[in-house]
Amino acid sequence: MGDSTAQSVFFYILAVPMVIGAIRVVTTRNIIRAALWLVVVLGGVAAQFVLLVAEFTAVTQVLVYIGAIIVLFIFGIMLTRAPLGKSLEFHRNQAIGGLVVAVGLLALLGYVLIDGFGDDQINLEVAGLPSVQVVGVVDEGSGRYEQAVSSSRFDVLANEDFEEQVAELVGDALAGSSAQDQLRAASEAERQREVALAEAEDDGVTASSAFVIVEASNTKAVSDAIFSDYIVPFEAISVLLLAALIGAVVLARKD
Amino acid sequence: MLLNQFLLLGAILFCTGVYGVLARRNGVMVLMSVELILNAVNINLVAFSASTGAIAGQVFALFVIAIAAAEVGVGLAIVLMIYRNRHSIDLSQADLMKG
Repeated sequence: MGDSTAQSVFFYILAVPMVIGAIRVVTTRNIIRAALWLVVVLGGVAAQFVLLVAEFTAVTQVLVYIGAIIVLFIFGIMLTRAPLGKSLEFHRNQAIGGLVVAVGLLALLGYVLIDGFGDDQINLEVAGLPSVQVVGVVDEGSGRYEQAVSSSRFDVLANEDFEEQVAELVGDALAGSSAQDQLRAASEAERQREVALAEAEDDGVTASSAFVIVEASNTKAVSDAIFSDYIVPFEAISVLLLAALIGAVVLARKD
Repeated sequence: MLLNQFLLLGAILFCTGVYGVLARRNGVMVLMSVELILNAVNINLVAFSASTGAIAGQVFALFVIAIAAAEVGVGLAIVLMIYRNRHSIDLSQADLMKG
């Protein structure tokens, strides 16, 4: 559990400046300072992503948010010649109303989260990579399968020689990783298979084999998902970005 | 690590963003508060992705980042137009459609 403590410590080291930065974004009078505090928050979010072993998302966050969106904000601030020093006066009623709503919402969300998720742990053996994941089991009787996680890339490994097959699969897919990592991935797959089989038995399904997917790196996993399962939203986002680009150019044109 | 740590952090950022949208009258400041909200959602998505092992949460977070970029582009263009017409970006004065 030493790992988990270190991660918790880092979480708090990141979270405290993030919360302070967020509060400063919405309370500071100077709008350029607000943009810079927002950079603190965005950087903190990217660091949290790294903590959650989502490094591709972290790098994208830095590139797109800090590298493009903040620059866009600063351009917008400069072009609208917003007073760079102290700006518009503070309106008490509006601020108090906003504060009441925000605090009430926070209380509600906090209660729901603590009540709902209690002590659920994030198991980095599951989230961390390299990993092998059991995503479903094949029903002996009907031949159909229960897929626990959506994925179109999987291998079916029969129950009898599961261990050897998993070891081979892990060896192939994670060829670059250390032996210890491969061993960890294979034993994690074993553990997940036990869980999946037990769940299947509870549902009255006798499973003859299990589906596994192997993810060698976060980028590979994300790209496999985007370009197979989520290709339609991906194309839709491309069209959306094009529309936004044309729209922004037309709106901002001087006519 | 507790899952709740990340979810509560997301909730705090979300509520701070909500306060910013409600209490600030500068158009650019409102857009920045919306960015806070979107980042809170992203933290939630990636935390759940790590907790359940599904990659869909991270994919969704990437889509949210792309949409945020598009939204900021168009939003700032609108703020720019408001500034050009009224020489002020005080949103409480942009109430022509108020009944």
